[in-house]
Amino acid sequence: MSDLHYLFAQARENRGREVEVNWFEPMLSKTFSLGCLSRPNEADAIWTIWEDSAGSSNLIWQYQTSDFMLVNDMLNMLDRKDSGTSIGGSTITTFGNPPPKEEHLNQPATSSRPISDGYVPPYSPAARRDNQRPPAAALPAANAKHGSMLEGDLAKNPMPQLLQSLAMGQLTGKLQVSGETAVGEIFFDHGVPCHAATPSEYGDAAIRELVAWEIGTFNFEADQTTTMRSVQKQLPAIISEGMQLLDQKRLLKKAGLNFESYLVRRHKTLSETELKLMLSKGAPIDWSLQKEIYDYFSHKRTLTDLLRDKPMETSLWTALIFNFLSCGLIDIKQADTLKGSALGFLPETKTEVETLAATLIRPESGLFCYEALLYFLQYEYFRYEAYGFPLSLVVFDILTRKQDATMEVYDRLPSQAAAIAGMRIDLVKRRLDILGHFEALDYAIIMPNTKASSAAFVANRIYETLTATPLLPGIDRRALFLSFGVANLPADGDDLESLILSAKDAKMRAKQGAFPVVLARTSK
Amino acid sequence: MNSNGQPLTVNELLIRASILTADELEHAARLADKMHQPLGRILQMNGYCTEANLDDAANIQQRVADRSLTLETGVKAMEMVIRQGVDVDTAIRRLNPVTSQRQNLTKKNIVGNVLATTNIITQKQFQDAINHSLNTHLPLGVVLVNMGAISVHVLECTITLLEYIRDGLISNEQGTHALQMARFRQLSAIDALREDNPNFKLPERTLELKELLVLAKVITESELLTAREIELVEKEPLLKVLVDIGSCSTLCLEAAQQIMQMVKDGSLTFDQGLVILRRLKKVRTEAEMEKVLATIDEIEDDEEPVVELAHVLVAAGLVSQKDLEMATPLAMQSKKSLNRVLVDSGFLDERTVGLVSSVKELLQHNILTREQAIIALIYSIENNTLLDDTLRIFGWWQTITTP
Repeated sequence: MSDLHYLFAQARENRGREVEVNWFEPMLSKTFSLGCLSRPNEADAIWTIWEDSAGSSNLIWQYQTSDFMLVNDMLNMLDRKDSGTSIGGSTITTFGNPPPKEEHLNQPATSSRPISDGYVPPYSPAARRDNQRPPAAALPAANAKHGSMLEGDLAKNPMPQLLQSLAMGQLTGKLQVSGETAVGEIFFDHGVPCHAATPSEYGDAAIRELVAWEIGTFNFEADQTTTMRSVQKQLPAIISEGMQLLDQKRLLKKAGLNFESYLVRRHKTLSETELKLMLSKGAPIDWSLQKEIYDYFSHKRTLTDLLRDKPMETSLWTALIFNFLSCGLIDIKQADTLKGSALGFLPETKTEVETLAATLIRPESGLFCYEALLYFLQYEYFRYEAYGFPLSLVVFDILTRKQDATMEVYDRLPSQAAAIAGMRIDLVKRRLDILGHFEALDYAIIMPNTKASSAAFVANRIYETLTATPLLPGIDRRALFLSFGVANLPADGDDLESLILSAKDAKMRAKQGAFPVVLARTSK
Repeated sequence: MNSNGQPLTVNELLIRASILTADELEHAARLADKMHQPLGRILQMNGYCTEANLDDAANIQQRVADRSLTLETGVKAMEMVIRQGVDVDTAIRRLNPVTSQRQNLTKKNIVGNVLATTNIITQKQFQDAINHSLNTHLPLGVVLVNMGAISVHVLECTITLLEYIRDGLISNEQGTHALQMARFRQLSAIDALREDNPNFKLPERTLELKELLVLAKVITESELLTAREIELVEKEPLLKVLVDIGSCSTLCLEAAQQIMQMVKDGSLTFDQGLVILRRLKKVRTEAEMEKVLATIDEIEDDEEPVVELAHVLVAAGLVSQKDLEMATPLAMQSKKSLNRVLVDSGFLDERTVGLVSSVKELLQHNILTREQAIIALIYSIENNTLLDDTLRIFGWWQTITTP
């Protein structure tokens, strides 16, 4: 830093003449030179950094400032291993024809040279003539020509440093970053980020996210501007938040978090005071939000479930999950350990169980046969009796109708359409709901621990999904005749017989009514 | 996995595809062991296979391992690569049209692509949804809603914003940002766009036929959304899609166009138009159509049904007929409303009475059927939700309103 002050003092003494200091970087096998020009009647000096490599000289940076820290930071950034014309490994290219190469005149270690009237942009012929340094390429500084481009790899140029260097260079243009799965961009206006966007974030949040990108490439196009204004905070503050986000992301990744991971509470029961106490060790995040999300994890949820039900920005959900994890409140479990067959740990027995289950299924539809459905219903009834969990039963018809000469004719669904209907219903129902044939022609779903109105909601969804588009050509909404009866214990009776009769009765009413789903109590 | 449940190896694939015999492999393995050379190199040196064959086999083996190909298709693809000299992708495309259909769907489905690139759904969900879409013949967005990957609100906003982008009203960037905004803050697409630009306005437009169909209850908003998604992805005209998916007949659609014109000409009021269209909803033949149209002059606005609160209470099973018989004389005696008596006597609470009154209104204005009204009422009581929220959850909340 004292050298900079000395250089500046020398330049002040030799106003109108550039003073320069050269040094060799053995790690880079390059010679750099820093020039300082103080012009009459101007307080700020013009600082210029040149790079000499393999016989050619390149202008790296030029800026008028009195901020020695800025110049010092710029010099520190040169202290990076990389090749080519670069700052921190960034390859700099210029569109259009590069200026002709001219012979580089070696300057003494400290020299004074005359300079032409006023400040001359480094690209201009006058600059080349006066400075005797042809910039084959240069960092697109504030005065860079339109179309100048800076490119690089995030592995060599981490985002925080890249952003800082663009800000320090007071550049105007668009930084585009191509990450692993998405592309993000930040617009700079004289070194100040004014707008940023990634596919999932916007403004400050987008910069925070981009700071956390570690893999990818970038390019900076000078002079690309936008009228959008989305960045609110100062860049250093956003970078610092981004770095924090990056640390949290790394830790969560290490803990095995992905979108399919289950977030499972570590403690079955925890009072509000205990929760508060445990969270006090973590980062300060809105208490009510943390409580809401923690309560949400009382059921088995994946990260995808969380983001679907409680949409929030990446930085927020990362901070929340990081807090819960670091405060010992949740565990991250891999999808494979919970999903799929619960008998996965007994591979041979599992196959035998699957073979047995296959005997309960009607091959033409892939659904449980009526007898199997009753068998499961009986078990759910016992559960209802023992624990008082509500039990719902939806009995439904799927028929096709055709207009005959005089009347409508109803028919069973062709087996291929029935199979597609089964797949559509599978998408809507829960895994624990049991779908099967009911009596000879009907179907039914057993819904354990489900209230009547929630069962009606599922029935309505099934109706919508079956009629959304044709099951097969010609079997569309107009050709389908659907009726659903929904009954529930304890709402519609005391025993299995009353449950089944109520559901059948409701289905009959649905056939005659104006809407295809009927709650059993409506039909009383 | 192979038939023994073990992961398929490259060597096994080469043997199964008859590029290598088991003896040749054994010989090569012995040599490799003896010469301390990689097996692949020995196989090449002995002319059993080329480097390209090994690369292709590794490519196919990887696809079998990640289950994007079955073992059988993998072996056939390997044979095709060797015998016909095609590349792996071509072989798979020829052997497995569903796979290539899936790839095409993935590429062209703009709804899925925008949801995936904005990280609203994961790539895995996208791929799963494509598979389900192929199997069930449902549009991808509907599948995603059914899978629970997105809400109907997100799908609606996605489709609306993609329509705006298609029509050149907004840029991709504005659309992407508005989608996130709509998702995070539960805003409509237009409100999300106005968050950025308070002066954002859509061009002035008159009521469209599709909206008339919704208002006349010929189609539901949910059906319209499905049709809009198909229109957007398949680039088919919306009205054609509505006929194709069975939402309305060509006859009904033609009639709706005529009615729309008559409303514009002033020969019909808007409400009369709606009533006629409602009656034409189930028309299947031209004769039926003519019959309805012949009585066009006699058609007046639909009468609103008279709905008694007591009926709703009994129909929903909230009070029995017996309870009602006891409460009615009490109400008359004390000159109080039936509601008040039922609340005072502990049959009902204030909230339930409020819900019943709201439901009664909806029934009276023909907004819901009796069955829908009872379901909505019970759902709101059992799940402690507001009636409006319940209607939104069920998709019975009408956002399109009479102009």
